[in-house]
Amino acid sequence: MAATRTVRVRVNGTLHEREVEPRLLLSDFIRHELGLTGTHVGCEHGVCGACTILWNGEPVRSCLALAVQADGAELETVEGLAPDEERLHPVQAAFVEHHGLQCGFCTPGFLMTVVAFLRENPDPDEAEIRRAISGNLCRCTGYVNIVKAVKHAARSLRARAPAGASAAPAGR
Amino acid sequence: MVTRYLGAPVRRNEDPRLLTGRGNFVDDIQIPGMLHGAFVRSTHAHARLKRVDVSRALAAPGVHAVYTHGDLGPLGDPLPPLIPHPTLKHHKTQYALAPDKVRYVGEPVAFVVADSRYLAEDAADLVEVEYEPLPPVVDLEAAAEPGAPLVHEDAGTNVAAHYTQRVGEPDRAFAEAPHVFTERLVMDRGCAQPMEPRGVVAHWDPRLETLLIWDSTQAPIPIRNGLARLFGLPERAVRVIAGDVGGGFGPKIMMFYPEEIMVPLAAMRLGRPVKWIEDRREHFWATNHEREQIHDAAIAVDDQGRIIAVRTVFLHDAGAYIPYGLIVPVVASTTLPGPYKIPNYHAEFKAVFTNKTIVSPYRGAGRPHGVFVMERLMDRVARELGIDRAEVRRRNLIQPDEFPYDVGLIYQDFAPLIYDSGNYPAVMDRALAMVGYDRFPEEQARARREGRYLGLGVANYVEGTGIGPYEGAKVHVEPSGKVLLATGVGTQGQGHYTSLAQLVADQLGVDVKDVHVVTGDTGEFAWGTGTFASRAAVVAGSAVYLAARAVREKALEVAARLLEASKEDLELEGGRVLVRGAPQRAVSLGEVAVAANPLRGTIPEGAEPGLEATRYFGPPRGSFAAGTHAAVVEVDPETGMLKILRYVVVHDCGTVINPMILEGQIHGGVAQGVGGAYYEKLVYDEGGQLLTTSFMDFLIPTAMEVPDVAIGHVETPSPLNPLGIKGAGEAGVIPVPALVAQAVEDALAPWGVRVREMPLSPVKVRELVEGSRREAPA
Amino acid sequence: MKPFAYTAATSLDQAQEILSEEWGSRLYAGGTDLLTLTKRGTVSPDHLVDIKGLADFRYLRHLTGGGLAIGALTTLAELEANRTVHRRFPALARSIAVTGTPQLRNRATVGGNLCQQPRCWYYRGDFPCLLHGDEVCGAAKGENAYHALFGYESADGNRCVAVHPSDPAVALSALEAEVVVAVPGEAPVNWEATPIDDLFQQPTKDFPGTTILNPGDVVVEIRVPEQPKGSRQVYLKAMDRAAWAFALVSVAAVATLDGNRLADLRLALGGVAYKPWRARHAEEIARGHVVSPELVDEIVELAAEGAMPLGANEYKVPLLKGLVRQALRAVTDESRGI
Repeated sequence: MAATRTVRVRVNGTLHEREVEPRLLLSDFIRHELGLTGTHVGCEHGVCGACTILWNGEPVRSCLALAVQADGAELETVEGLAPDEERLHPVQAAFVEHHGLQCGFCTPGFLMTVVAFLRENPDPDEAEIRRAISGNLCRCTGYVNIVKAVKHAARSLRARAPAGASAAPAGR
Repeated sequence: MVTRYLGAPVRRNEDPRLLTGRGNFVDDIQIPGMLHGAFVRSTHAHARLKRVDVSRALAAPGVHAVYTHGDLGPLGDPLPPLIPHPTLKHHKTQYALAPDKVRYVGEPVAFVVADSRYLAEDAADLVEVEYEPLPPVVDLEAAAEPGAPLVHEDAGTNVAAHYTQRVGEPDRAFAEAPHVFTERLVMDRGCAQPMEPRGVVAHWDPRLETLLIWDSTQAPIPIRNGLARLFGLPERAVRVIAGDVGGGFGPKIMMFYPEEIMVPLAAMRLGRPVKWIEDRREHFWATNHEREQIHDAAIAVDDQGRIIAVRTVFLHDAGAYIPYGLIVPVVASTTLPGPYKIPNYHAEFKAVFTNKTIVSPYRGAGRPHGVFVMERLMDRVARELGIDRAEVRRRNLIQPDEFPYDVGLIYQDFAPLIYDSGNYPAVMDRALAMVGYDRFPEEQARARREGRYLGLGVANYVEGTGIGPYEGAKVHVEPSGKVLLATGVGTQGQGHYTSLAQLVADQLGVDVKDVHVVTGDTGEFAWGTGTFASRAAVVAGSAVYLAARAVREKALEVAARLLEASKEDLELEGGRVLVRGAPQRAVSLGEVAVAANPLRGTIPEGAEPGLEATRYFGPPRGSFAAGTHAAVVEVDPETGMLKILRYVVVHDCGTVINPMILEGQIHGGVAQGVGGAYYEKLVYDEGGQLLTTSFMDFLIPTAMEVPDVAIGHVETPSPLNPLGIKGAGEAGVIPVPALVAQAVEDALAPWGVRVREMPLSPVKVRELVEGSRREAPA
Repeated sequence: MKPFAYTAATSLDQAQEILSEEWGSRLYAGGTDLLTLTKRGTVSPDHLVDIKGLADFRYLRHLTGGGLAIGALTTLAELEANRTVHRRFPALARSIAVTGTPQLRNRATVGGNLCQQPRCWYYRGDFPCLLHGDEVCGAAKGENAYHALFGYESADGNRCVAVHPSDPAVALSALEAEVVVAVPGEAPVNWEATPIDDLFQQPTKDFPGTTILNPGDVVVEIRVPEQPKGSRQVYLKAMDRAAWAFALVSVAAVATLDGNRLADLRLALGGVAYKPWRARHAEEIARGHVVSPELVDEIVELAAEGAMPLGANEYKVPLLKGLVRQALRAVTDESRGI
């Protein structure tokens, strides 16, 4: 077995430190080492998007990264979106409202993708939404209600944002 | 009683939990001391196992055990058959681990258990397997020929079953008919690919002698009963939990997948919890496939296009074993007649073994095949006789006053195929109106002038749903006033935590959020079969309704005593029982529950304690939903790319419990149908190797391919259950291949393209265009 | 996935030293391809040398005399979002937009995209493949619907018939881009720029590799020259679904018009060869001629000249012609330009 290495990573604001084998996937690290099982693994080859997390704010596949690579990174997972089931993030609330999930397995990946997308593009049209979620596969919903939920979430996030403020960082 | 919830788009109870990452999927189970398994799988489609040497694997770091067939004892026998059929002469079933021969790529040969999945996989690579390759049986038609190499030598044939059903006198009808048209129609292999692969966790408690299993199955109760039998344990000692299951669509029922035997076996022998989670590549090999059938079909019609007779003679690819029996081909041949009056019908099939992954029902389960064949035949009649394709269908529809309508066949539940109710003309006309059928020719002509190729498709189907035998439900009111509902049908996303809660909430006058549903846990409810064949809402829903009604009656009786009022004057509302017109005279449901289960005093003679009831429901036979899909598509003849511009579903599934959930079911079905019709295909090479084992090879549609779906409802309640429900789980997927074939043909009419196989793909469509160009340049 | 060692390189020198000295070490950047291959056991590295953290190679810089230098560790997402790329190299921008998914583009580097391995299922499965060291290319006579039309000489199984999967490579080829390769031990001033097409080589039994890179060689920069004034570009891609699929066939076209005369035309074809396939003969014939239906017909035919379908990929020939025609329309017709 190859020598282990230390990984220090901040996940949803909490700093974690673990000794891991270099081959440990980031998705397995999050799920099994940290016990954050909301991040799901659907294909292990970077296509389905169920394992999407935010890495320094950007959505990435946690199944296509090694835990050792995340040393020093700031990660966000689905568990960080809402403090509890009563106080859902607007994107989560929109998924309830529009029945944007059925089995719920792909859902955390969609949520993380959409949260990042709406930070960059707070007022997307349908074509932009469909393109933004085209890296996440869902086998239950046919995407119809997910698209509706994203539109709804965009509206409620815009309504929440103070007038004049834009969530979109410059230069992108 | 006010039905506040039945028919309302109630938001789902299960959503907040799933949205915050608090799901309870099988891979989320973590138990201290748990070991992890990995399988060594056959790399050959057909070979003798000469030698399996596990010595190096056993010596690898962190390895606790490596099992091969020789270690299994009686569990090494073929696993039990699921659904026998009188014509299924060779009911060959799979093994927990392959004995002396492997019959498909991916068949389990050995099982390694180690400290982690990583170490288990390392060791699995060290298991040495020596194969003596045998000629693989890959091609379905060749497999059915005499003299083909045999998948099962002792059967003496690859034909597992040969079954014919006839209505009327089809031979004479064909001989005498003025018009007969024949088609050869092919459906290739596809598969469900739920986003969550399969998985099993087993925990044996040697002191209590209990076996606790988490399994991503659609049928936890039969799994428990079967495991108890196979392991020689009392049924009560085995508890199977199918918590959150990340999509099922059919193949998450087999009873038994080899892994469902090996994981508990290892847990019992090692005295440690064991987990196995399928990876996606394994899923492509090891989880059942479907769809591959070759139909030789014929239709006989009169000059007006009225059907005189239909015939289909087909081959069904069963794969290497046939544990599930003949469900798919039987459903295909009994779904084929659909909403049409067919006085003479001949359906005949052979189920054939091949050296490919096992076939069992996948959403649709033969229905898409039947509808594809029937609707292709209708299109052919329309074209040959020059009759409008909607009109030719309309002339043959069963009319609303003809129900119950006896098709004359025996259905998959071994009951006569009798349609209970429906209004097929209304459904089709609504769909035609919604899709803009009448104005389409003009739209198509305009687009063609711009160099765009639009096509329209319209396809009808009847969906057998809600078959028996039965389901049950237990409703229990706690002293807190909260209601517990336990039932056996697990959920893979269909919203049972909400739709079933709605039925209870209406009966007991409580908030739907106060009905806590437990499903898919044999520790809570252990009678029933499972979630398949669009039956949960119909069969379990009816049982839930009956149980809730019984509790309501009991609550009224007890409250009548407490309130010194007549039962007839009481009503249930807001979690209370109150006297109508005198709302200050009320007791909470919790108080009623306490009174029904007193610590002192007595309960009336003959009464059962507690506010609780268990009821069962078994329908006399299935109820039949129906629908029409219509779509307008655009096809790019250069690239073969398909764009769906409009998609319409008009559906009749009787009484609707929750239209939001129903529409979600249809959306998802349509997406799966579109995937199966245009994007997804399993490719085997000549040697029986599956080449498509990733989502980069097997293309599930993304949000870029799947259309928005407009849905219309027609409601003709079923007379066969108390609520009038029909199932809806498969409605979205069934007619999509038929519809896409017709729409693509219509779009590419300038080239005279004919679609006779599914799935299409951009490549396939390009080839069709090129082929037509060569034959007859446009 | 076999155990391996991991080094987060702190300098290119350090990375190159390991890579050139340790057999079994592999360069690792975005990881989106290599990790997939490692998980499937297609490759089994002993040591991953991660250069993703080398910020020195993650940049976009304007070249003197126009043009753009792109650090090889720039992510596809960064490139996609860059205004210069959008304005001056729209074919490149488009080729990136149709690559992978947003999540992958956030991780995948442009250097890694060029050096990714073929998507051939014989290679990615455990099937006969020259890249595995097998004697024969299984696809040559097998299931080859997604394979090459050009550049393989003969389908005798001794030559790989896989196609290069990169979209940006095709656009970069039409833009006449060069790649700068850092060779171990060489000072940066001596690093040489190579035309992008020459980065790729066809795997054969004797040379089972997809690029000309030796162990320790690292693609560090991509140079896209300034395009002729008034030139117009397009990237078209036919695929099996509308998103997240590799090209069945793709076409990058860069045209410079002088009035209605084609002063210059560059046509690169994707999904048809082990490298971006330049339709040189078609380009030559086009040069200096007035755009006419006859000329377009001729270019279309010449673009497919010498195509050798393998059996299951015959559809690619008409598809290629159709796409070239669409591309020509786009770069010569004002109303359809991008």
